[in-house]
Amino acid sequence: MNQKSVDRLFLGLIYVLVVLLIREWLLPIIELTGAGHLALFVIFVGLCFAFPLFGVPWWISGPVKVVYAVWFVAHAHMDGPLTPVSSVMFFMGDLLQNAGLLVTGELGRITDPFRTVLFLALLWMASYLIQYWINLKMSVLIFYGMTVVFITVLDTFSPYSADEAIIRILVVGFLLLGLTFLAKLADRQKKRPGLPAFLLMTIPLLVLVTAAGAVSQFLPKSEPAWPDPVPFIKSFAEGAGDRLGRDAGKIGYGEDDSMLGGPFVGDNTVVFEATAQRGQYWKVETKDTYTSRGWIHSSEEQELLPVGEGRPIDEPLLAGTTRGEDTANLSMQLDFEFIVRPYGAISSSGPEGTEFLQEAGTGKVIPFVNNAPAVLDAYIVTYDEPAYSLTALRNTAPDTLPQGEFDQYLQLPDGLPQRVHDLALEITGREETLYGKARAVEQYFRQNGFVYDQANVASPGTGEDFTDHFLFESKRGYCDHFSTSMVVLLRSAGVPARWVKGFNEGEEIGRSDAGRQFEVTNNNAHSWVEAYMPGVGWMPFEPTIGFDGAGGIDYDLDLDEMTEQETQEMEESAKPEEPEEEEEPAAAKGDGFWKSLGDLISENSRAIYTVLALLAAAAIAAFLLRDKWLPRVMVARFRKRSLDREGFERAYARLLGRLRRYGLPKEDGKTLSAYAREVDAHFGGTDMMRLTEAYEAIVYGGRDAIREERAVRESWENLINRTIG
Amino acid sequence: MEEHRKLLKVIENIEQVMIGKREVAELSVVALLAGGHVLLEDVPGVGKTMMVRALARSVGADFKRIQFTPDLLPSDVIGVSIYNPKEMEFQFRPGPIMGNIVLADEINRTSPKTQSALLEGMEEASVTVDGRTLALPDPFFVMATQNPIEHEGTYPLPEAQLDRFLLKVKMGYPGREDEVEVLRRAEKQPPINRIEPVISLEELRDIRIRAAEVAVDDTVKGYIVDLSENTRKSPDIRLGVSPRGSIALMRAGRALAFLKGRDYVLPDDIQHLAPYVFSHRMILQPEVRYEGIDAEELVERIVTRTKVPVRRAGAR
Repeated sequence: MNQKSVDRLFLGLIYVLVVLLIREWLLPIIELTGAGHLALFVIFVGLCFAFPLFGVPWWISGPVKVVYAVWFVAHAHMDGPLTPVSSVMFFMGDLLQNAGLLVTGELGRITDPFRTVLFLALLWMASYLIQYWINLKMSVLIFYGMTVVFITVLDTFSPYSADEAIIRILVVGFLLLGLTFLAKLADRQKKRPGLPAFLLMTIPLLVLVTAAGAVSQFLPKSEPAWPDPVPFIKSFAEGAGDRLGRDAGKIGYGEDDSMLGGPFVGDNTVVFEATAQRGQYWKVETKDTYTSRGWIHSSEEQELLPVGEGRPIDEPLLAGTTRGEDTANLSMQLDFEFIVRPYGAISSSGPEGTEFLQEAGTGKVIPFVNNAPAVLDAYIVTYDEPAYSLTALRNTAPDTLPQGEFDQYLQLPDGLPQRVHDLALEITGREETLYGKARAVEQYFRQNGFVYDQANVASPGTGEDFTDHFLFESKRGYCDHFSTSMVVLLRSAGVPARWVKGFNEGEEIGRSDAGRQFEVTNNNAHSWVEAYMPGVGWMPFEPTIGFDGAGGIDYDLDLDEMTEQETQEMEESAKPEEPEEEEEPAAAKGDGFWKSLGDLISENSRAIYTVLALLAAAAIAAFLLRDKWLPRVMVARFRKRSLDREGFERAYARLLGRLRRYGLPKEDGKTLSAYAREVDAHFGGTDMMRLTEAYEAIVYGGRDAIREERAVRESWENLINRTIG
Repeated sequence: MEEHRKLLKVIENIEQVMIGKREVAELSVVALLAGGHVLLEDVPGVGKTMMVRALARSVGADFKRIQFTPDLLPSDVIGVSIYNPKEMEFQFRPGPIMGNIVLADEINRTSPKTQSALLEGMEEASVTVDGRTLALPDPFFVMATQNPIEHEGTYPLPEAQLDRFLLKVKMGYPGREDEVEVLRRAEKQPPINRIEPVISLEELRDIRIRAAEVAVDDTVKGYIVDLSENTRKSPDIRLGVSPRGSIALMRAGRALAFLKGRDYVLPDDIQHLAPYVFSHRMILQPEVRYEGIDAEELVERIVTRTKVPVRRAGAR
């Protein structure tokens, strides 16, 4: 085996390890996005490394990679028979379609195949960069460090579990570091290792690292001593800056909505956990009467109707399709005398003897045991998630609305300022259907300078209308502001609407065969809007910025009939939803001492952080101002010390250091007495010369005692004091 | 310390006859104390003879002068055995080298053979005549002058022989003020006649022993070696200073420290003496010489670049 082959073998080994590390990047990306085709991506990366390794010229490797990308895209995304011609046509068509979108900046609308193309291009560039690192600098430490950080962050903050991955990364990474170190060593020795030397160096490394990895895999691992820091970090970050204005309330599900507004403090207490196929909004009840300050229900006494047995919880969909019947398992952590339910809820079941009754007005479902409202720990809701027919929605002209039937959902307080009415007409005037008007209002909040904020929320003054204040004065608030304002605007525009309370989908914490697990905390308490669409039914809308919970649309139109906006909506709703609010997994996991310590820290976190910050600031200030105080400290210490030979040598060295700081450094080639003359010339007097003569007698003359100790001490103190800047 | 006061008086004496050249006077005394010899590289007529005579008178020493010419023979320097018919035997007639303080003028104008006769005496402190070894008087101090090498009709001394001299000193012309003073004094009686001996030869021998006892700390020895090593490392120098040069610098350093009334050597002494001790012990690269940089300048550069030890050797 000649030298070239050995070199190539060495580089090849490094490349294989690098590809394995890149695979660790791909794994979570593909798992979390659900993109699939991991093997194909890895093969692509492998190609990117294999070609340069074997010296394939660019005019071969480039086209091969392009062909592979075309085949990949067609294979992954194209329906129908896969022929070279059809693949290329598909690829080119997709490319042209999306190129336009890129130019106009409509990044949200680019298609999945094109995303794949972009991702492949990204991988291509990344592999090129890593090759550069390896070939020119023989350094993979940055890449390795980034991999570790990436995986650990994902493990901490996302459902991706990196238990295995971290061990693989450890083994691969250390092998890489070891090999690149060997390469650098060989480089420095200007001698390339032959095959025996190569094997002698690499095999022990391989064995050791692999053995260490294997052992660590099987060693028992203790639980973390500190409770998961993530909730603490989050709650601290969320709590920051909420001290403006009035005392902040605590977020969560409350019964009384008659006074809306005011700032909130986040609360990560878990309310319930749900297992379902998809993340969705959890509805509790609706309210119909707006009082300028908040929401009440028009009838105080609610008629209770039994649920199930031919009477579904939610009114059945009048037009559209459903996703098919499904169940959601709910496990409650807080005590609620009602149930939460997904859209399209049909029935619910709890322990033996539980009866579910629904309030006719609010739609709230209350479990009863022995004819008394009860708190359930766990229950199952059967539902069939609706997708509203777009055809039917486009036929919701205002005149199709039955007269008089929805007056309670068109209620508005008498004192509502005229400008709210005017705004409603301005937003909806051009729309001909109720659906169009509702969408227009929903979109209005996203474009006109509204800000989502829980903390810095101004409250309307006495006699001011809550909606009016939000729409025209503050433009800053959270879900209650957005949803209430949308209801009011819709009602002003003649669209029946009601205010909905519940929870948003929460955070996904894991997956199992039974479905995805969601954890819903008080932070997920939410409010949104339902509007009545004649011929369709009550349909949810989501005006709050940053939330994505509008009802699913059944795009039952011919494609060329669809407006551009509808196409956009279709693609938006096809995107996987992203949980907005963060959860806190079991904040009080630690017990005993750790729990109380954790509580102590979180309760006094502000004080602790303030003290730490002050200490740090004081330390920095002390360091920056050391010229002012350090000499005095030195003098004080010097006075206590006996001036033996060693002590004097140290004191003299200190003085040299201080003089250097002062701006009188001693040059290397200058003798002490020459330097002393210079210092004395600067300060005047002969202190430095006297001191230096005594010092010289010790250093060069081998003396043990100091001549004229008193004078020497005096001179030293004089000089040190002179250096106070 | 009485002795160093007396030595200062010697320097003052020399200053009386040679105005504005305290530096040279000091170096001469240093060489005398260290048992070395001085090479003066200078143009004629700047008062060398006067200086050496003043030095000789101050220490009560025998002064001899040899004017080197191209036809001078070794025997003219050392002396010659002449047959004495009355005694029926050869009698040795000592040459001018048999003095305490010898001024060897224009040493590079004579043949190498004659030069080496003098240089051998300087090195061995004895001369060999007709198979007999004759010790030279103690103290024996040679102050040789040489014309700058560029002058015609010279036999430059080989480098190996140059290091017989402890110091090489350039005297140069006096400054304007000083020269005016020289003229003023030239009107009166020559001051050389008024110089009284300050110390006896006996005392001088004693002082030389004392001066050799001045302490040189290892720190300072290390510094001397650093300097020599740097002359060897310098790219401008073809041949650096030998260990003999390092020893010479230490000896000179002791003498200077003694002259200053100290019983230990400071890096300052070493720095001061290094150009005089080192400059004639190195061979420069030709290109450096063409640039007009002389050896003294190079040594001074090395001195400013070499780190002076400021902590006791072995201390933390």
